[in-house]
Amino acid sequence: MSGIRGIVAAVGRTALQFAADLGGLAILFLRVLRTIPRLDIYELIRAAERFGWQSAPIIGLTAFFTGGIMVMQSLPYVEQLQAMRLLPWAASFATLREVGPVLIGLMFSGRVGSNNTAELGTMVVTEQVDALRLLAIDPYDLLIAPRFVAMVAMMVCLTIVGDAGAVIGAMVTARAMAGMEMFQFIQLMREQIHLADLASGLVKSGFFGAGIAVVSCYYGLATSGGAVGVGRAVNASVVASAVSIVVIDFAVTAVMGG
Amino acid sequence: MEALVDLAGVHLDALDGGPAVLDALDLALAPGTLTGLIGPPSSGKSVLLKLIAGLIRPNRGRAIVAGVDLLAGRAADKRQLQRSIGMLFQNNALFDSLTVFENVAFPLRRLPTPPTESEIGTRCKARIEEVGLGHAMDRFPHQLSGGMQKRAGIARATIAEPRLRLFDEPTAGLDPVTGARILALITELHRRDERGVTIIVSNEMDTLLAAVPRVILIDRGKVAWDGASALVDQAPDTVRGFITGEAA
Repeated sequence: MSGIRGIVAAVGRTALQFAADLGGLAILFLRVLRTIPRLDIYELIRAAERFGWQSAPIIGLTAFFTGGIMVMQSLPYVEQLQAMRLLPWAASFATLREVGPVLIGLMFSGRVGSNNTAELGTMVVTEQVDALRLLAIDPYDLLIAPRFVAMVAMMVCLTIVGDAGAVIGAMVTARAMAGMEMFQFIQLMREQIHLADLASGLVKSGFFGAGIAVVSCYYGLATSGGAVGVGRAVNASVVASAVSIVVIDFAVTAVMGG
Repeated sequence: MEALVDLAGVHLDALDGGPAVLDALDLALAPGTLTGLIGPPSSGKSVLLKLIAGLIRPNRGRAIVAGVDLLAGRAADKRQLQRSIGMLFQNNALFDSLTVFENVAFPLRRLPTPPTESEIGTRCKARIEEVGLGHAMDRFPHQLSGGMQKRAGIARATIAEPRLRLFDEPTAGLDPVTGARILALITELHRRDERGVTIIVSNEMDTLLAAVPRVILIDRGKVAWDGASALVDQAPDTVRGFITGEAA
């Protein structure tokens, strides 16, 4: 009997915590929207430089190989169907619409989101956030809103970098494995891939950036319990960011129809 | 004289549902008060400082600081009040990404009407020299020892000439000589503005009792004893026991 009671209590605790987290995320998101008009511009530039510029090389490199992998996966089928003209479409369509934004989102959450949670969490447990509040500075103006805007903007910029890297990787691999000239690859891509395909990926990446920003800031500000607490917060943030990317992807795809 | 800090029946519930953190606490501090706040671990000393600073809102009671009602006052008044408070936090709370100079200059640069950059430079350099960190102005917090971080924190807490100066464990973890030097610095800063209030949380009894004229013992969220440092000998056995470290 006590075993069943324990299970019910554990389920109840988890449900309550889930509801509290969802509510906390929603409140943080609304506060950020209200704070954006008065955010600290210097902090915005600093955050954008840190989140975007420093992530660009690793994102570009990863995307380059992803483009190559997509060509390698598609090549046997287009050869079998004797439809070599479809190789650029097969390699790029899913990359621009789906694989690129999701992969970059996951990398962004692992690199930038976790770093953001750790930094905010450390500021909370070492009372730096209290020190800001004591100076009559709203942490949302100085810390949260600039990071939110920087993450949304940099996620879109990094997706453009990643898309470019993936297309270059696909072109190089198609040239090496299928003998397709690069100008021909580009020409076929221009015929088969539409602006809407690129735009769809970029819109998704903007939403992913917002999701990662809200989740990573929420867990950072909710940190308690010293260094162990910071570790717990980073772990929760990475897991929740990954889940949010998939959920947002599903919702945006359903709404946009692709 | 009207008290600068006026707390009556202040109550703060524990988040985990345990015993109250502050339990019907009464405290009145008139302008010019320099007092030590002592008490066992988790007795509510640091929480009391944060409550006075407007960082924690009490659940019940009357909490008026510099004429601002912390329970019912407007947010704008509370922000105004916080600009007149300087606090050294238990963890020093120096901003990791800023140098010592930038940390000390931060409160001045964030004033609604900040002084000129040259005035900020002059004032900050003078205060940093005063706390003995002239050689470390361009260092970041992680490049400082514990004592140096405390001194940088004191410089930042006092640079904007606050009326209410709160120091949470300014001598914790320091050797006796550095601790005594830091307390001497705090009392000297208080002497320069005797209209203000200075509260020092510390359990380094010998140095504290020598530095402050009044001591308040907080125990289980209440004021257990409030009296002159010189009269500690006449305090009840339990209080004397805590101060001298001997069982009552």
